[in-house]
Amino acid sequence: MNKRNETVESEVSKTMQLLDAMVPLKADHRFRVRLMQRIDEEFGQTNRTKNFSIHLDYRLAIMTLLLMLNVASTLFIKPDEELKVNVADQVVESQGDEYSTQEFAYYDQTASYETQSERQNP
Amino acid sequence: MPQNLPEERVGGKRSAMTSPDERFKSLVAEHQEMVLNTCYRFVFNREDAEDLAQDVFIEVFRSLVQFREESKLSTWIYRIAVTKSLDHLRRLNRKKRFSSLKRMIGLADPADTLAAPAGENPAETCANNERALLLQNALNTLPDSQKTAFLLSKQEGFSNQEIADILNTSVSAVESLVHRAKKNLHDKLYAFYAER
Repeated sequence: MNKRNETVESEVSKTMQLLDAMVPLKADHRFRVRLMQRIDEEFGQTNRTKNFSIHLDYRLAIMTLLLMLNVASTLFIKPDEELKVNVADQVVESQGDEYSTQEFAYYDQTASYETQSERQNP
Repeated sequence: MPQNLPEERVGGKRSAMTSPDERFKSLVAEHQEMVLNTCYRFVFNREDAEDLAQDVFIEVFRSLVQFREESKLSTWIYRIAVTKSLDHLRRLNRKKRFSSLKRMIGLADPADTLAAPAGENPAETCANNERALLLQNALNTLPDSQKTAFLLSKQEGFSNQEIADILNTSVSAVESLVHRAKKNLHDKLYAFYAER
């Protein structure tokens, strides 16, 4: 029984000693090269995505601004047109009035003088 | 390149290099072997350890801006290495569970059962026999804190104080974790060999 225990203990201790026997690894020169390549790939890509999103942000801002201007123009320019129509009406009216005033009345009246042919052949 | 990588952080001495790119390369050169070997202790496989070490430095590169200097830069880097290694082991365990489930329902992928190429086998790297696999399996049954404290204590270059800093605990807690890990490992291995 004791011999059996000793055998088992010996196996256990041999197995546990494997950890002490592990030879430390040496990093080869390609380790850093591969790492820097991965960093370039991963973070270069991120920067490109970032730049793209910045461009997209600018585009979005410009589009929003244009949309706002468009909406604003429909809201504010319409009353102006009505105003313009009113002003035009007033001008036409005032023009009409001017021609109907006393000073311009002779345009409406028939001529009261005779022409030269009428004078010669009455 | 991270701009907040002061010269003092690289090697603890002033450097003539001013470019952040050069300083990051220098930081990698200084810590790569410690990071690589830390990962290797957890995964028992050079290829996986290299991939993990790459992931660690990419994380360092990404998060260096957020580093608050509450701990040493090296401690912070090794903590990332430990976290990445534990995540890797968890993924492997999930994969193993899923593979055994697939085997049970007859959907096993033949590629899962293919032997690793010569020279990349954990057993071959460690002692080239089943002991390495047995040890790895026994280690994977330990709680993360015990496993981490025990594996870091086995690695040259880590004092108990440094392990305590990495685990964010006290030196006495580390000693206790290492002691319990050794005992649990011993018991598990003993049970295995006794049943044989």
